[in-house]
Amino acid sequence: MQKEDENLILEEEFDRSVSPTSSPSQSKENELLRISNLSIVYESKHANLLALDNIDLEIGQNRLIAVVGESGCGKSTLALSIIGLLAMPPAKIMNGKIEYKSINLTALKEKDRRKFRGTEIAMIFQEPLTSLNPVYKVGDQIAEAIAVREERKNDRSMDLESEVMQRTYKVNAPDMPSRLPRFKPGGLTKLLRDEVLQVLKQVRIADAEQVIDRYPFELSGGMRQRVMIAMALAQKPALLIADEPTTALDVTTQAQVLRLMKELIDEVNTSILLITHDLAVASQVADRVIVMYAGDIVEDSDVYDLFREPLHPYSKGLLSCIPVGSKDKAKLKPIPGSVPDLSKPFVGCKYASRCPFAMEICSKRSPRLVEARPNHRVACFLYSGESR
Amino acid sequence: MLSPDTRSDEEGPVPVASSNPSSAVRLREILSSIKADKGAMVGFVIVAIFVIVALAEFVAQSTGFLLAPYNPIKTNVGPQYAAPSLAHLMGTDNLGRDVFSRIITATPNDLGVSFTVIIFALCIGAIVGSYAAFHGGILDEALMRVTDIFFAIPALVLAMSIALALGPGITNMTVALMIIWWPPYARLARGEALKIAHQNYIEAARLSGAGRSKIILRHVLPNISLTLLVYASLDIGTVILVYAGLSYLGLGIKPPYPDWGQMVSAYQDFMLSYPWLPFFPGLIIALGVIGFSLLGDGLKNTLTS
Amino acid sequence: MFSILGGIEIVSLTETVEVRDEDILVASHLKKYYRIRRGFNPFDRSKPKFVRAVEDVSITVPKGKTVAILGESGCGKTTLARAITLLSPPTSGHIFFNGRVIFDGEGGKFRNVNYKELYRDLQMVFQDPDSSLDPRLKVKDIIAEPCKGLLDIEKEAIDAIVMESLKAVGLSQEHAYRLPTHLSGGQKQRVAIARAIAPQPRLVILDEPTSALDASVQAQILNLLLSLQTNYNLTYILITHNISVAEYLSDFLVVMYAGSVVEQGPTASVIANPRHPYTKTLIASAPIPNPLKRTLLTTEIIGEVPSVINPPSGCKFNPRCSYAEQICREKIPELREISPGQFAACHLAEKIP
Repeated sequence: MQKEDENLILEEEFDRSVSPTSSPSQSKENELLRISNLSIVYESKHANLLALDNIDLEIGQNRLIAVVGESGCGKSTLALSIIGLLAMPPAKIMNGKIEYKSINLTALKEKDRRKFRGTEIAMIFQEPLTSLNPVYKVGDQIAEAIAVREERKNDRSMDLESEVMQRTYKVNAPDMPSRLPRFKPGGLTKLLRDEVLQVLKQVRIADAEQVIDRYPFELSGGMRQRVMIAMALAQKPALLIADEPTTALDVTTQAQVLRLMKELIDEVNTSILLITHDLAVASQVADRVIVMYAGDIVEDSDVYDLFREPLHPYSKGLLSCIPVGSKDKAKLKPIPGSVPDLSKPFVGCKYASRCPFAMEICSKRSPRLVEARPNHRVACFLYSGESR
Repeated sequence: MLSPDTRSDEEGPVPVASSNPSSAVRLREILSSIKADKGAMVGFVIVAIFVIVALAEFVAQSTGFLLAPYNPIKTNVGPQYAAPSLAHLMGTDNLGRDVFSRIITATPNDLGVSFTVIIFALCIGAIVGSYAAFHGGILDEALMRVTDIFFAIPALVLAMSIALALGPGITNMTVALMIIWWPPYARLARGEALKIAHQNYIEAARLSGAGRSKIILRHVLPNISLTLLVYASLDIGTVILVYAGLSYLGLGIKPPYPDWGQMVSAYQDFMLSYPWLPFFPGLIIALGVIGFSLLGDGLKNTLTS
Repeated sequence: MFSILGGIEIVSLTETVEVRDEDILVASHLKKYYRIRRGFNPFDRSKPKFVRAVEDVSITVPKGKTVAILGESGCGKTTLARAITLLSPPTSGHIFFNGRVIFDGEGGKFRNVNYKELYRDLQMVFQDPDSSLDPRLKVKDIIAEPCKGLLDIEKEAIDAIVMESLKAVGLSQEHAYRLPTHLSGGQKQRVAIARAIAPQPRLVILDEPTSALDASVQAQILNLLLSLQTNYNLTYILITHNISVAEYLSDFLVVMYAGSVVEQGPTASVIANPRHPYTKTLIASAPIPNPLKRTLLTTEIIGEVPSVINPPSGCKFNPRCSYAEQICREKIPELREISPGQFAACHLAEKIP
């Protein structure tokens, strides 16, 4: 393991053209998801908590975007709002929109929004044991996911959004009956056995034949997470949101699952939005890293640029918190202080109280996210005078 | 492998509910949330009335002072079979006794029995259950089988057999009820104790030199008390009902001393001719059960939220 | 009887263990087996099965140093910690601590252990800050508990110790009157640390002390642990699955896999030059914050942790090992010295790159 004074500066010569996202902002065709000015508040009778504060972000096709932040920074809220699983009271969208392939998801009613969930945008969660139904065999659950996809594909009652969805479906499915034997355990699996096996093999499960007949509790954590990924991908989503998918796994299993996810991006033609608290994990798999703090995006950059030159003081602080090397060589520099109370209205930059570079303006106004370097945005007055 | 924590460190935002609750503050919180819940409020009022009357009557009986409007035992304080009126709020019975006074006089008995049984069951059940959970082995198995026996036989039948063996009377009745009432609490306590047996703070207590008894006393009982209390608050109504049933069957306090269940039994023949007679004791029993159940439900909602 | 190196030889009933002056804890050939309860089937003639949670583990902990026990789930590290503290005593083996033998022998035949004396010098910080503090006790009572139970001193002295411990871990007087539910994860862990150091122990076992915490909080706690070690002259046994934390904090590293030690030695040497394939895999899988070194993606890692009831024959790692040869499937490798101070349990330790 390398240990440097600042483990940020990379020794090797780095050729900019190598980076996949170093080209200027993607054209509209490649863009999958665009979030503009999104603010989400949690309302309760005690207080209103500002979970997301005017977020802007874009996700392109076939990319792995990592959203990194500590507890309470709003990353889970962001994930849930994209897929539409946020409990709407108490959460409320104050302003902004989420556009998926140019369709405004936030303006849709739930019955229309549902059409995107699972089919276009899928999600996997941290604890696979609670995400899988313990009383059904794994094969049945995957078969159900495939069946839902087929049903939706054949559903003629869909309206204009169906064009979008049919555009992206590439699968050749066997002839499906219009009413599937949904509630008979094993019935679906018989019908779709080949597809289920294929999906399981795609997530590199070696003995797929046996796994089909297993129950979730019979599998290890890593296997369960792969089954989750298999179920999510069975519907061929264009965007897969993974909320801390490897936090509960062993480090070697984590490596396997991360590697799998990275390879699946091109195999299945999907993009992955990876939510994590672990900056090191992000550095290993992401194309682009978005750093969040207390509901704001503070830095949004290509992964190589971020680690070579982290601009925002929080990013720098986060990096210096990662233990690298022994205590004698490099003592950790923790970030002093704590996250501000998001239930109170806040003036100025939220990080100012902990920032070693804080200036006078930082406590008065809140910095906007601007492009300080090519394709590297940061919200900090050190780099721009623009405020919100 | 655990997930990251809920918030960052140091003087961080403390939850909005009181940052330093003393028992008085908690009590106030509980009371205010009960006030908010209409059902619980009704239950609270009913229970309060019952308890106040029971206490007042108890004091009165001990000091020989008559709280009720009429002497409940003396016959012919009013006309026989009088319908409810201002003079006799619940009418009079076949012996000319004022029903209202009888009901009031009976209150401390019925309530007293219920509370005694529940408190006994709580204490014994908690201790036995916790020890069984932490001892394991033979003690645990024995407890489980004993409670199985008690579960297999209906409560009423069991109580009746014990009462018949001991003889009638309120003390024997209470003892009989106490004997049959504690096993479910022991079972519940055992389950709760098992849940926390593997918590790290129990192990930390062992590392602090605490023996089994100290751990149970200091760590287990306080932490399982909430569940047990919630269960007990819903259970009081049941004891009242069972005791009323037993005294209806004649196993309770002997006449002429008044007792709700016994009154129902004695007046039931007059159901068609003078319906107020069996109605009021029955109503009071029902109110008691409903009141305690509502309050218990409200407490459950508050304490488990 | 003294050995040539100047230490003391403890002669027990079953064997001789060598303990040097500078060691505070020596655990020798520890085994912890759990018998799997079978039903009442009288026709079941199969031999009773055991979960071999800890299989013949020996550890030496020098005074004032930090020994890290590194491994993934199911490797037996937590079981080992609980065996050493006698919370869940070993099935067999010997444990020498702080000048005397505290465990010696088979299944429960202990030397006379005075638990109060033992825990005065041996304490533990647990992994989960939420479950390690009694939710009904105030912080000051939580910290006072070991003092009350282990030290024979009056109330005022205990209060003084409590306040001092709070200060030492970076909390203030005000925190003393709070309940755990009104503390953050980092604060809770600080309370747990304060409780552990209050009776002034000599050895503290840290069971994944920062796994449940955010990165910035983790950094604070790690630095706190370091300063406490210096100020209070503590020895640490650190249990972790995080190799970066192990590398940062420890002087000696013990790598465990499926109940056995597969490699041990000075941390710097083991990490710089791992001699066991599993150690190499661990190092390669650990995410480092450097996108130019994506070892996580390039290293081939196959399979998962084996069953503890029916482990593979021979070396337990062999089904997942890319260097495995026939001998690995047949013979269990012994832990042997590959280079001065560094031990590995691998037949091919010298040959692998």
